[in-house]
Amino acid sequence: MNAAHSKVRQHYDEVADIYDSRYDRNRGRLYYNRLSENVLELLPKGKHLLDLGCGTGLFIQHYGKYGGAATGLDLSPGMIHKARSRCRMGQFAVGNAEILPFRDESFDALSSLLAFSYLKEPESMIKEAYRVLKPGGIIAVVTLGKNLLTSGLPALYAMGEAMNIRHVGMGDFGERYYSESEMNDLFLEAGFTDILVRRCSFAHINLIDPLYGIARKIEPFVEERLPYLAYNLLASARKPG
Amino acid sequence: MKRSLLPILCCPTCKGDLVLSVVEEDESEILEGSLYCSACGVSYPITEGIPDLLPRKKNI
Repeated sequence: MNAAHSKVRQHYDEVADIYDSRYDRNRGRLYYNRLSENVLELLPKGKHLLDLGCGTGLFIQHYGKYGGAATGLDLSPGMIHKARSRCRMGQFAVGNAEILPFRDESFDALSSLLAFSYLKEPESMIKEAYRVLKPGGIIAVVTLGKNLLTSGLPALYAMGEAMNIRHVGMGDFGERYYSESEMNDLFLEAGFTDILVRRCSFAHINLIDPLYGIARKIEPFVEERLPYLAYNLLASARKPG
Repeated sequence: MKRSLLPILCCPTCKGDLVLSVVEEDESEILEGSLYCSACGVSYPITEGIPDLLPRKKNI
């Protein structure tokens, strides 16, 4: 494991206890549920899902509502411990999303929510995803998009780290943000077809409260009319066959 | 780790077979043990029910 991975792993081990207070309550839950719904819409239900960067198992819990099976992989053992107690239907392992410990053609669906920006070798992750999906399998990835707002995040996170702020996802991890065409090219080069990339969820959880309320009201409008302002990129594709 | 996970697992590095050794198991899961890749000479531990399949160098 390289230094960057160790840092991400250590951060999430440290925040595992407070993680769900961010994404599984109130505003955080609304934000996460909205992302989850967007991803669920694209995936085959009631099948076998692999979730990369599964964290505390929030998305696997959503997926499990429709039956089927789910396997979660995460760098952080602390997060996997939480996931195990949250989702009895899931099965979990500690591992690296860029070098998967799964056999070829094992899964019908593959998801990754808000973990892709941490990857140092995104090409490897997409290639590995292709390998472990069955023919006809679907991948859906949500990650922070490259735009005016996220361009300020690395500086903000570096400041947060310097000030010793203990906050989920707050740290200088050398995260990468992607454009629509970069995501499209990653899938295309790995051999995927039916590639769809769009922006979603303008109302980012880090917005201060009054702004968040306003942002949620105008979110559908923003997604439809001003996609360059939305924070997250939702990219999906199909393995031919 | 549930036994149902075993058929889809492989060594992250060489993608070869893993040999399961169980130290402790309850009715639903393997709690302590290891997954060994003979091609790489690497043993991946299972602790508190969680397999750690991070790629690593040989244990020599």
